[in-house]
Amino acid sequence: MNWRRYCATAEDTKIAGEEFAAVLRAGDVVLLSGRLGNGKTTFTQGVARGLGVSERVTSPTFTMVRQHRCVNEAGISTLHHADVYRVESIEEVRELALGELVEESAVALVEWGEMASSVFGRDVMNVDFLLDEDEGRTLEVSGALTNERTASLDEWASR
Amino acid sequence: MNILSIETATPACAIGVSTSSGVELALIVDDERHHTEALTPGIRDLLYKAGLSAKAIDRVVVDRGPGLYTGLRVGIATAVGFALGAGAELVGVTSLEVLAQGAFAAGVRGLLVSVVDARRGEVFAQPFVLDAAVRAVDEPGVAVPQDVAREWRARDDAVTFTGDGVTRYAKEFLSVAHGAVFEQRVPAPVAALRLGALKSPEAAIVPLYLREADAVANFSTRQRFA
Repeated sequence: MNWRRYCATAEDTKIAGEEFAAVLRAGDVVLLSGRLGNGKTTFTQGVARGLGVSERVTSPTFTMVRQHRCVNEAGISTLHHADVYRVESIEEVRELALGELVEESAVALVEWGEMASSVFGRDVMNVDFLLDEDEGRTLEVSGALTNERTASLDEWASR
Repeated sequence: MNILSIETATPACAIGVSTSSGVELALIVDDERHHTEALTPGIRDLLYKAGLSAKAIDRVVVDRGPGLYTGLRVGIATAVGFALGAGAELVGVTSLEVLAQGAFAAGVRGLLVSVVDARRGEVFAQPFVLDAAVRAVDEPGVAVPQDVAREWRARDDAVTFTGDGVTRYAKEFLSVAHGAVFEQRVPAPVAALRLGALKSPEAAIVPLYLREADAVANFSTRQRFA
């Protein structure tokens, strides 16, 4: 099963991220896929806003992962924002230990995460960023973890 | 031979010491993933209890996985460092074979599947036959617990499941009509000591992660997206 949401502008993508924060629970890993410039970082900035991150969120392409403290009522205290585009081997992704770090009341959003999806196991959410002909974006959410979130994803996709 | 065993593949941290005079000691710190804090003081305490100095250890047996990534890093690094400092041999065992050995020592016989919680909806599993000894009958693998249970439900063989993956996915494994559960969340230090005593020393310990096979190939697909 998957959920789609159309975003005409970058601000729409950010709002889609902000509202996606309501779908998340502590322990979640979300893999973001799409071409360069399709909105993965913009979406993450929205998620950060939704989770109550006050500092600026920028692309972690060169640092691989950044941690942001969150203030929210969902019990999510840390957002791990990773970008594995530049990694040379699966070992580098494994070393981030994101799948285990999220167990400490955190969530992880991983740009280009599908390249190393086997490191993360079955229970993840995937968000694919598809570029439409009119320059808008369609976000498509899928993955085994969505089975437990159908109600909140229905709500998210209907907005 | 004096042997030290180190176990960090599950949320618990476990240490064992066996001495040439036949003493076997075990310490299990069953705490949520505090391997870094628990392991080294635990080794110190257990050596003290055994009346051994670090230099008296002849062999270090370490669980090389599969299991928690962060735990294995701490366990293997500590084992390698300890062995280097103490001039001891290194031996690697797998979490799945230690679990099988633990079940064997407790009297379990016949088909046994060791199951370690791999997180995010998956388990590491390997089948063994326990008769006169412990024999692996297949390679270890990563799988969805529902699939492992389904596979065994479809067979008529009596089988026993053990490991923290069975505790986590109890509903699935209890649904196997010919299945029994041997409750054992932590690969036992005494089992690791006995298994490790029989193996040949290794020059290097290679962690067993099991989640890499298809992932390496995925890096070539990056070009499609870029």
